[in-house]
Amino acid sequence: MQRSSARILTTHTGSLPRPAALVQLVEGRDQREVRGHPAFASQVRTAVAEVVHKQADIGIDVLTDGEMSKVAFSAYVTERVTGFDGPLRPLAPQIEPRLFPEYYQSLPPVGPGFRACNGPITWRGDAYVQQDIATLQAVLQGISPTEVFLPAVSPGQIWFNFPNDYYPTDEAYIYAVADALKHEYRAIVEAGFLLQLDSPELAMAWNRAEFADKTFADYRQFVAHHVAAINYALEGIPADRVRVHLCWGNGERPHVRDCPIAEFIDVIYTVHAEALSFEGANPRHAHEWKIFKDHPLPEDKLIIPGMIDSLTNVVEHPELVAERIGRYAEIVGKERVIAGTDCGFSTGVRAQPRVHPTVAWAKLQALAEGARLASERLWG
Amino acid sequence: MQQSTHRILTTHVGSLARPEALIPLLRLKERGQPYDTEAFARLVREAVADVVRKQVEAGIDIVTDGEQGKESFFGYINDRFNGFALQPVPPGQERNPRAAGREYLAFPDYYAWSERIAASAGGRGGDRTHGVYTCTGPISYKGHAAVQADIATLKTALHGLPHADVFLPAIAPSYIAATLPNAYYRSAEEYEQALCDALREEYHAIVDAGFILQIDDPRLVSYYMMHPERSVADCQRWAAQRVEAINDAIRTIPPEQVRFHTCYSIDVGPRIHEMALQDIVDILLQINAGAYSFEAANPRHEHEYHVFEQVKLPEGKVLIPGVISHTTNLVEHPALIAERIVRFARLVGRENVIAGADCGFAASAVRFNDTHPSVAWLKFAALAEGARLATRQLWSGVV
Repeated sequence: MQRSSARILTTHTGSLPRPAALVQLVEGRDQREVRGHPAFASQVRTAVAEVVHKQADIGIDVLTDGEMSKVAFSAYVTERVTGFDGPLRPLAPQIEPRLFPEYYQSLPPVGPGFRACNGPITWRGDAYVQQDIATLQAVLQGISPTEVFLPAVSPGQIWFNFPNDYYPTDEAYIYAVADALKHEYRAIVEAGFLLQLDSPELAMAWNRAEFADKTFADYRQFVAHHVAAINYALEGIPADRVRVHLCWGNGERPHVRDCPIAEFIDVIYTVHAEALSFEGANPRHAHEWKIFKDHPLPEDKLIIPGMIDSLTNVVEHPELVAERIGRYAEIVGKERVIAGTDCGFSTGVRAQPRVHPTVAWAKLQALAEGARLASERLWG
Repeated sequence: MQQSTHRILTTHVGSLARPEALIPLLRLKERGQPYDTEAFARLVREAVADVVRKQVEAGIDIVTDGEQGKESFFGYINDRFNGFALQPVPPGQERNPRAAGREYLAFPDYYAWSERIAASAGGRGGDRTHGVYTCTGPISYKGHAAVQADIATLKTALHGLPHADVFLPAIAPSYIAATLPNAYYRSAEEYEQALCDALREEYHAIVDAGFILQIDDPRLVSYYMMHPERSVADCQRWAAQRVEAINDAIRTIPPEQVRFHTCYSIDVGPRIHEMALQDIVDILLQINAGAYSFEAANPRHEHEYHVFEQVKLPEGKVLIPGVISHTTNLVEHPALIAERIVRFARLVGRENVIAGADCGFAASAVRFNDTHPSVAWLKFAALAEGARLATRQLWSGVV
C-alpha cells in the first residue's frame, strides 16, 4: 500500500453522489431489481467515468468508482450471495432514539429496511464483482492515480443490517457471510485494487439495544469477535492490500451514545489490514486524535482519519484540514497518515442526500488543498 | 461584565427556539398584523421562565431570555421605532438579498436545493413577498414599554436562579442601515445617525437594568459575501465606517457593559466566500465593547484562533469564541469544546475567554433553523462540561 512518503496522500470512504438519473433508477429498490434494468449498466459506466475523472482532477490520490453500481454500501450483497429472501425488517433497535425521542421523531421516516436471511448463504457474485472491476479498469485507461480501491462490506456489517432467521447463532451467521464474501474480497485484490472493508459496526454496534447494560469490556469482546471474522475472511490476502473503514453511522444526530474509539482501538489493531479509516472531522470525534498518544499505532499500520465530514454542507477550510493532518502526523509520523473523509457521501442512495453533490465535491477539493498545505509544512 | 477569573464561564448568542404556541402570534407580529397581545404576553412570560431555567440547569453562566418575544434578532424593530412602514418590494428586488452574493453565485444548485428543503418549515429568510420594512419618516424610539417588558419578564424568570451575569441582545444601527431601505433621509449617513440616536435609548434601558448589552451585527462580516463587486479593502473601509456608527450609538455606555456579536448570515452552506477573521479583526477590536462574540466552531472558521498569535487582544477585552455550532445536529464532544477553549486561552489568557456559540439556535422564530430545538440543550450541557474540562486544564494543569 502506498504511504505518504513524499507528501500527504488523499482518499475518501468510497461512495460519491450519483447522477440524478441513476438516483431515480436506484432509490428505494433492491439491488437485484436494479440490476435487471436495461439502462443500468450503461448509466453506471457513464457515472464511474465521470467520478473517476473528477477525483483525479481534484487531486484525490487513492480513488474509487464511487459505488455507482450499488444501491447502498451493504445492501448490494443481496445480488451477490443467496439467502436474503426473507421479509423486510427495520434495523435492530438502537439506544440513542430512546434517549432523544423528540429529536428522532423529527427525522424523516426511515427506508423499507433489510430482507431477513432465511436460507443458506452462498456466493454467486463473480459476474457482478468482475463487472465492477472491468468498469473501473476501463475508466482508468490514461489516468494514473497513486492507487485505486474498491469497497466491500464486512461480514459483521451484514449481521448489523440484515436480520437473521436462518442460522442458529450470530457466529454461524457471520462466518457464513465471511465464507461467501471472501470471494469478493479476493477478486478485488487479484484485480490489483486495494480492498476497503466497510465495517462500521465495529464502532456503531455499541448503540444497539443489546449493549444498553453492557460495559466497554463486554464491547471489546464483541469487537474482537468481529475482527476475528474479518481476519478469517481475509485469510490468504496480504494485509498491505487491505484497509478497514469503521464509523459510528453516517447519520446527522446527536451521537452522544457513540463509543469512544480509545475503548476499543487496540482490538482494532489486531485486524489483518494495513490501514484503518475512521471519523476524525465531525464534532463528536474531532478530539480523538489524541488517543494515538496512549494507544501507539503498531509499526506496520497506517491511518486514514476523516479530515472532512460527510454530514454537513459547510466546507471545511483547507487550513483546518491541514491542521488536523498535522496533529495526527506529529503523533504517528507523517508517512503513516492518509487524509480521508469521515464516511461516504452517498452511503445509501437518496434523492435527498445530507450533503448536496456540488458541496460534496467542494469538500473533497478542500481535502486535497488541505493536504497540499500540510505537505508543504511537513516536508517544507 | 464577569470574566473567567476563576474558571471558564459559559454563554451563548441569544436566540432559542420558541414554543409552538407562540409562533403563529410572532408571525402576525412580524407582518404588522393584529394579534392577541394578552395571550402573547402570557406565552412569552412562560417561555422566558422555561428557557432561563433550562439555561441555568444546563450550566450556562451568562444567560438571556432566548429572544422569546422577538420574531427574529432584528425583526422586532417595527415595534420599537417610529419611521418604518411595510412597503411593497420594488420590482426586481423580491428575491432574498443574499441571492446576489458570492455564495449563491458560486453554488446556485446548492442554495436552490437548500431553500427547497427549508421551504415547508418557514424558509431560510429573505422572503420579501409580504413587503419590506422601509424607512419612510423620521426615526425615533417608541419601544420604552416593550424593552421594559422584556427586562421585567427576564428579571422575574431569573428570580432565585443562580447565574454569573445576564445579557440582552439588541440590533446594531449598522445592520438596520445596511438591510432596510431608506426612503426618507437624504443620505445614508443621516439615516444611520438617526438609527444610532434612537437605538441608544434601547441600549440604555438594557444596561440601566443591570444587564449586559449584546449588540448584534452580522452584516459587519457578511457584507463581503453579499457584495461580490467589492474587494476586501472596500469592505474593510465600509466596516470601519460602521464601527464608527456603532461607537457613536454606545458612546455613553461603559465598554464593560457591552459585548458585540458578529457572524456570517449563512448558517449551512459551503461558505467558502466568507471574509477571513484576519481581514476584519483589527476593525472589530475598534468597537468600544468589553467582549467580542464570533464564529469559531464550524469547519470554515475553526482554524482562525491562529489570528490571535499575531493580534494582541487589547487590555481589558474578552473573547467569546463559538465553541459549539448551530449548523449541525451532532453534539460537540466536551473534550473537543475544551480543546477549542484552551487554544484561545493559551493565546489571550484564560481570564479573557468566555465559551460561547457560533450564532443563535433560532435566529428567526418563524423560519427554518438547521438544528432541532432539543439538540440546543444537549449542546449547552456539552458546552458547560467542556468549560469544566478546560477549567481543570487551565487552572490545575491537568490535561
